[in-house]
Amino acid sequence: MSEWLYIIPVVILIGTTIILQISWNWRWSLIALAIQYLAVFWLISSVWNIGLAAVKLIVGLTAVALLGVLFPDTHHDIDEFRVGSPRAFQLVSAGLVISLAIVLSVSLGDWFPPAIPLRLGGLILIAMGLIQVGITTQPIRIILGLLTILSGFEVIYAAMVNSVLVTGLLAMVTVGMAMVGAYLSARFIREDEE
Amino acid sequence: MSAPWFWIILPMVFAGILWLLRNNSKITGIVSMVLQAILAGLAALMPIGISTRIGPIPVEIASTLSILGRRLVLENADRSYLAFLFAVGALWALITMIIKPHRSVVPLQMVIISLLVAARAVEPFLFGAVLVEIAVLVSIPMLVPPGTRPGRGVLRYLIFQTLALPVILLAGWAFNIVQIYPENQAALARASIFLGLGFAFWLGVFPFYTWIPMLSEESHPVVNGFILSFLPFIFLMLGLDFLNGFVWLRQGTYLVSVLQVTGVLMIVTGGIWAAFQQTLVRMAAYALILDTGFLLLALSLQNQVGMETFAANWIPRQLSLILLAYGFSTLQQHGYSLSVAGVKGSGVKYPILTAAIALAFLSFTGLPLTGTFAIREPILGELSRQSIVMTVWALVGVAGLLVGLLRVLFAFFAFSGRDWRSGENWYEGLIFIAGMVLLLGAGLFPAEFFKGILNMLESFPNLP
Repeated sequence: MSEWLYIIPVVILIGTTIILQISWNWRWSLIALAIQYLAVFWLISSVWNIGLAAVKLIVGLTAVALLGVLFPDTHHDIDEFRVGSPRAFQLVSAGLVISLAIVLSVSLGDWFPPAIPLRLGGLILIAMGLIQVGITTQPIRIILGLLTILSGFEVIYAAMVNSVLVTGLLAMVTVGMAMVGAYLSARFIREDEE
Repeated sequence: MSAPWFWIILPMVFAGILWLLRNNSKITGIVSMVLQAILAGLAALMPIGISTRIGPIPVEIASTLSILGRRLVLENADRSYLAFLFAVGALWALITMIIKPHRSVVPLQMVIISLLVAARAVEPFLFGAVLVEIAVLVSIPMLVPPGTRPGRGVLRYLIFQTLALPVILLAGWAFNIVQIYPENQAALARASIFLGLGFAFWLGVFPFYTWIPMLSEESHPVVNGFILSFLPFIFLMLGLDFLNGFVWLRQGTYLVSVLQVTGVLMIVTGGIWAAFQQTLVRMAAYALILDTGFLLLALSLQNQVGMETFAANWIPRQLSLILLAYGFSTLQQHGYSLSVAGVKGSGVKYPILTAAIALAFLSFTGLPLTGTFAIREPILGELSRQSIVMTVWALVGVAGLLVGLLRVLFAFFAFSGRDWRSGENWYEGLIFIAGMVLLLGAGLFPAEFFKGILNMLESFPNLP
């Protein structure tokens, strides 16, 4: 019964990764990322104590806040996708990738010992993140994809290794990645404005 | 005081100070260069973990520093590696000070060096992967100066280096399983696959090296050269730590084949692509890929010759990289574009500069009189005893790079009807001549030049 309770965050993750994939609105992307970190926290809390799992949530929300504050132009919607990648194509590719992740989460049981919800959630995040970094050249989209991949990895890794120091260092990487994203994108906007 | 205080914490503290002083590039450059030269000298002269005397004062540098419950360990056997790393760092600081790519470069270089030394010193080793990732993130503002748009190469570099982090951490977890159940073949395979994939991402092994030429084209030659100088060095040292630490890994029958095939693929593709490049920077990037292929081949030999050639290769590689980065930047400052067509006739106006660039390229080919000849000859000799086909393919790659070099030479010395003159200023001439003397010296007197760096292998007592 309790394992099925953790299917809910997996469903949430499917929703957030699809929004991150197809959304042209920066504000919606940030909200999806924040909810994604909430679902990650939910999944990790099944194997860690709430206090340590909350670190992932706080760090994730810090990353979202950093991206929001340092890249504040909410009107800066991303047009690239409208030209090159129509939504239908993105939805189909997302569907295929999620199906693949579901199949892999069953067949890779020997490779990754975590329970199915964690494995499935982690693999969905990694696969969708890979799709995201693979089909765009926009720095901010790539950073969102990398943050998604790292979240997926952290979900799987949390069930295998419980180390406070690794958690702390990965938190530094997440925040650093958000800062790099804000740095790259801020330059991008400034140049466009000039 | 412990060794990590000197070679990790001190550079980090100075990086902070230099960040505050970054508006004065001359001061930051001089301080960084002098500090790194002192640290290199200290590593060369001062034993770690052994009591010694400076005059009447007894001195001992401890090897371990405990921080947040973990240990940073730099042992006496690491001194050669530290001395080499900081000596190379001092040279990069010198040319960064002269070229001035942008004001944040020097402090960020110090942070990166400090993080990379920490990545190898930290125990357990898997934390090193996270420190490397932080170093990669720190390098982004260096590669993308304020006010410029990030190119695809920088983004690919960030993606591949970041993908390496989870894979290496999973490898660390898989290695722990193997230690508990050494007979578990599935666990062995899993650990090997994770580790191999992680290093493939890190090093830019075929086919993951597309970011190297792209990054070279987009970023400043000095900044790009610095990154390509330090990251592969630390990655391969970390790789040797793995091989040294895990007997099942170095005795795995697949290791030799994987290293050989990957190495030859990198040599062939790097050399052949180099022949067709239209810019000098991309050609240099492919030359570097070829050189990394030879480093993998050296490791695949799994004997003393292989290990010694692996260690020795770093001297000509780093010297060539520094010369190329400085040469390309100087050519740009003199108004040349770095395309093959764009440097036409530059050899007539700047003969010393262009000769240095040509010699640095030549060094990657391993021809006689260059520093790499004494290194490549035994590698190819040993390889030919194991597989003549692989040796021929490796030579095809070298021939490709030679063709590319000939194109550059024709471009440099086109329009030779003009009057020859040396347009370099005195310090440019001095640096290029010193670089050429060192590269040729390494070729003429390899035993003397490579003696010191071979001590680096003391860090790996379980390897041949």
